[in-house]
Amino acid sequence: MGEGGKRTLSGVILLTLLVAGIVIWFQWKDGRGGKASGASGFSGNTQKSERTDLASDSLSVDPPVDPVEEGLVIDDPTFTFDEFVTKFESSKSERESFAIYTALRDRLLSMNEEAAAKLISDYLNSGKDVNTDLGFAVGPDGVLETAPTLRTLLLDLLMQFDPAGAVDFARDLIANPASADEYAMALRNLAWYDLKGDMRVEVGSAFSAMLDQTKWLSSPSDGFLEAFDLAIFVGNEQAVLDLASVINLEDDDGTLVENGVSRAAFMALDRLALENPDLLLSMIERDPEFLEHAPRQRASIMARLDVREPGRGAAILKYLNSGIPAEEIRGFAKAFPNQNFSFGNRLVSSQEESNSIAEVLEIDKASLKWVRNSLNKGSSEEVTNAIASIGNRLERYIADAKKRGGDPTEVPPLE
Amino acid sequence: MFPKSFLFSIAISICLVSIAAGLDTPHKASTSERNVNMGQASGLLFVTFPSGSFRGSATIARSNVLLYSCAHVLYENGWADPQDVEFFPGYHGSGQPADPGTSPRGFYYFSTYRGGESLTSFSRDITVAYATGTFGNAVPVFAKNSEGKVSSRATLKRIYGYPAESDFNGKDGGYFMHVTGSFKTPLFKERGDYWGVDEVSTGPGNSGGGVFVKSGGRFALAGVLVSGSRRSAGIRILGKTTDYMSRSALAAQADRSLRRFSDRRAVKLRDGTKKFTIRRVNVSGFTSNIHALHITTKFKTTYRADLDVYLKSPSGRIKYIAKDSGGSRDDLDLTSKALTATFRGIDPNGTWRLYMRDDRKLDRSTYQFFTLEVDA
Repeated sequence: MGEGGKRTLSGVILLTLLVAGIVIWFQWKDGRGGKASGASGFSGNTQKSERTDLASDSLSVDPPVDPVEEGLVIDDPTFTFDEFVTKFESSKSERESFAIYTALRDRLLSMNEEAAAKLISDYLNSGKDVNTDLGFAVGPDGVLETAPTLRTLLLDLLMQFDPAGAVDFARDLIANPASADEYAMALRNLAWYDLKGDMRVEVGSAFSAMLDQTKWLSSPSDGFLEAFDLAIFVGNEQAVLDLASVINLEDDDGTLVENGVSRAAFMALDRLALENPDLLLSMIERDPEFLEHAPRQRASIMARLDVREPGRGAAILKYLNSGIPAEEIRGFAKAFPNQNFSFGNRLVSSQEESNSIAEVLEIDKASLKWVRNSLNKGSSEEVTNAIASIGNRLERYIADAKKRGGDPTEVPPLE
Repeated sequence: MFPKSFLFSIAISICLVSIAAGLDTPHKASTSERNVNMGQASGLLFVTFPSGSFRGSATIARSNVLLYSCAHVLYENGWADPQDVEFFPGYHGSGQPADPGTSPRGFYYFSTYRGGESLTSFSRDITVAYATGTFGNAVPVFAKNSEGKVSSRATLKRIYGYPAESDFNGKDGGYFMHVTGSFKTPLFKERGDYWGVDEVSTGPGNSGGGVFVKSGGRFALAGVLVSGSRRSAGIRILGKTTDYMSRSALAAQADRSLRRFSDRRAVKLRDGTKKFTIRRVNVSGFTSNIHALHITTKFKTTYRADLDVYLKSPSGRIKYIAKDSGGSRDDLDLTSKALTATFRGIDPNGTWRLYMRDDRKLDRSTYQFFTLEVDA
């Protein structure tokens, strides 16, 4: 080979190496999810499908490893809980405790998840704890905004870092109930582990067991009361019976116990009635004694029935004429059709699906029609009077809307 | 910090010697303040329970069919029935109103399961009542900062209400509208949507009263009074949750949008591992909470039960998409699977993460993409 040929060969080899290098570099960069790939993130207002159709065999290598994301390193080796325990113990105000709490949570959230889960599991297994002097406050997603103890906070965080591990702890806590707030977190974590209702039986059983804890019932913590939300998740007859059993509890003197249990139970029952009216109606129809001890609440639940649904109007008439107390008939007449909705930050359930004012008006019109058809159906005088009073009220609502004119759904733009 | 012993409810039987100095006579409005009719939008709320009648305060805001007050005004051993609640906008007199007030058609309550008086409860204590007719003239709601919160540096504030025990003239028994003078004291964030302000005195009956903040040259409703003492006031600030309730009542579609966010970094998952691979999308630009959320995702696999997949919201809520399910079937292919039941009503903005792993050996799986369809 001549000099020129050697130069040509060297040039080809160099060019090949250069091309190979560029290809490898681009592959590496794509694998790291570098900005150049531009594949992730906001895609705008398009309604078109965003599917890619990458064949699986086009990717024949293991995914690149992000050491922090994959939990292969502990990126905060200086962390210990002792430092925060000491700070909580010496805190002089709620505001200071909140600052310590926030700093601890943020630090754990900044770690790689596997390392944080390991630290948390070790601490929970140690049996140690410290009060934070903060309340059991549920945030918008069911994540705790504040927790009363360090362990309760850690149970909240563990579910975010290691769901399966958190479920193991939850099962242990439910088998050995000691703290109502921890029990509430255990129930929540089990419910969050659900795929398609597969956790409902287990959570339902644990929820029933929670209400058997007389100490918690007589002196309920905030976590205990927030855990009534789990009844919405369970959503079956047993959950309804459990809730009904703790509404309007009385003390030894026959005085109503006002410690929040009755309110929490009714709120959960009411939300269940909104979500699954058939369940509540069938139980009330089947057993006249069901909720007999809570006539006001039973009336409110029955007042949720929508007469536009087949059979509902007849069911209401049957209920009103079933010998229920006069107080309950009057309660129903004041509430029907019940169009109140309760929102809040819940451990498991989402915000209620509520009716708009326009939808409420449609229901009011249908209910007024039912009233007019029901007045001569042979009800007792008391029931007839109650139905007539409902009619008067509904006529007023509808007249008010007409008087106002315009579209009730009009809304000024958000400021 | 508010002395817990003095957190007030609407009960009118507790005696205060005099109304505090922070409250004064009905405010003589300046020209710019008259434009928003704070005095006409604020009103007296009468609530009748089996044990008797109570008073609170409320404000018509955003729309003339909406009324903002706090939840604890409307609860005593059970929620008040709407017809047992009467609203008297702009009322100012020495005696109880002679004519009946306007009753709401219903309520959107926001509260904890416990309710009552505690820091936790106050930070969630708000109600938006709605009417089929009108309550009167509405004031606008406050323009929030980029975090959706009232800035502590917002300039002038005013609080309207109807304290029960003593009126501006020092005599009991009246139903006078009390208004604080415009004050510049900064608001401070106590917890979540619960903010405080010092050097303002409030009393029973003021609960639910409007807290107005001046911004852009005019006053607008920023929150409602939920607690207080002679030296401080606790305010439930309006935010995405109250906005969500108002929009729900009004079926407001105007500012809602349906947008899609995707990750398309396909990856072949490691086989038989406990470690999760994570894919992210950043959701931004929404001013209201989620009305509906759907996910579309695809995994190529020859054994679906190998897959564990869950979605995590920006604040940490998780929802399983697959969990050792589907047996020996092939691909996991979900199109517009509704997740609304889990995430309805929460703030969509932030980083959403999809966790995935193939936790059994032999059959390898490949993640292809996921798309979140957010209606908020």
